[in-house]
Amino acid sequence: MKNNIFNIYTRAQRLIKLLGVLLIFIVALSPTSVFAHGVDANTERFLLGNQGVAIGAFLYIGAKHMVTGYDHLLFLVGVIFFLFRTREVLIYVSLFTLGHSLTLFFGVLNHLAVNPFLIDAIIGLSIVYKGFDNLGGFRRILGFQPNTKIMVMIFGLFHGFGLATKLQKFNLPQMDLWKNLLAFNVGVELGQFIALLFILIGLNFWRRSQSFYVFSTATNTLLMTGGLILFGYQMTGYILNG
Amino acid sequence: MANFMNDTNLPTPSVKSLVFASGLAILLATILLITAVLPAEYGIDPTGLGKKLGLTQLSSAGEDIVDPVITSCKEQLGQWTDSTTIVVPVHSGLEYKFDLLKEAKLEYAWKTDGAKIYFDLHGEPHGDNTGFFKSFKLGSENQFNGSITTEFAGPHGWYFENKTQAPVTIILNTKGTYQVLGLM
Repeated sequence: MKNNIFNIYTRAQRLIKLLGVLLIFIVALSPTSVFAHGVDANTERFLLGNQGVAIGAFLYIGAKHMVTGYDHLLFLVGVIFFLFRTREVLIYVSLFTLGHSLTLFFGVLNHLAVNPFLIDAIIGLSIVYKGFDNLGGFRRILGFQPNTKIMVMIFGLFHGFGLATKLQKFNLPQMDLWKNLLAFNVGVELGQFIALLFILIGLNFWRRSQSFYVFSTATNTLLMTGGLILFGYQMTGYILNG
Repeated sequence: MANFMNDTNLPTPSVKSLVFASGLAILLATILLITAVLPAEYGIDPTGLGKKLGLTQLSSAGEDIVDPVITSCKEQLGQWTDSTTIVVPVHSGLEYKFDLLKEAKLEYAWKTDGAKIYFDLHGEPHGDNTGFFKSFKLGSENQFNGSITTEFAGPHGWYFENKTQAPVTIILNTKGTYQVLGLM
């Protein structure tokens, strides 16, 4: 029984790695103009005036938001920093995905107007939370470890609202809105997958060295720093423009 | 297979080390915000360091681009007879014309919101049915200014064609003695 479970996990790992490599090849071999800055700006301009269903454009924009969404990525780095097993990474990332997909859909379909500065400030705080959590801060201060899975899901909900506000900046025709929305969501997951691949490759290389453990405190302190900078930046934006 | 974080056997850090790490994070974040991020993003520079580092220009750069257009437009309106805004929808063309007498002068300056647009400045004689027209200037630009002198009386003006994926907005300033025919 134990052997069977082991086989399934190793097979799943291999499949995921294969998919990842394939995806990287597809991305790398695509005409470079696809990812050139100019096309990106053109896609955005197109979507600002778009009147119908535009699966490809929303897919691309969704992927781009995740790959360049350093606030989402920093949070994910914090989440997977001490996750050494692929199974755990899959579980936590899935919970994050579930959380942000729920609020992305809910927010856009219900035309929720969440203040973008406030939600991005909260996302900044989620990064601070995770850094502090990784340091064992809550175990010391609160005396117990807040369930990490539940917290990833909850913060995922906030990240999803952030994604919703970004998507709502584009012209979203009401007809077949769910199609564009789904394309965006799939794009987000694709982008997340690609970004995580690179992050995990880097992390795993680093984990081979003792320096990973020696510098884990410094790294999570830097994570908190990054989150605080984002928080300050977004709150200033809220005070000025919100 | 317990998750690393939920494992109760993990050493709990001391309050002192937590305070140190958190305090360092707050300090670093504050420094970076005040000296780099806020100057670059909002032009807020309480220490003046942002300016020295050449970061404040990143935020005021946006303003610099906008202001000259607005002020020069306002100044220029003093010399212009008319100013109009034309929006050319995606993948379409339109004409904007003025009715002028023979040997009349039309001075103009137009600029788009940034995108290049195909234009043909031309004129047709009054009552002409042969389809004859005289083209003064044509090309693909995002701004143009100059003047024309008509060789015959009739509608003179621009054919604009938007070949891009987004609507193009054009501000057209004109000076002369004419009747505005407008969009045709």
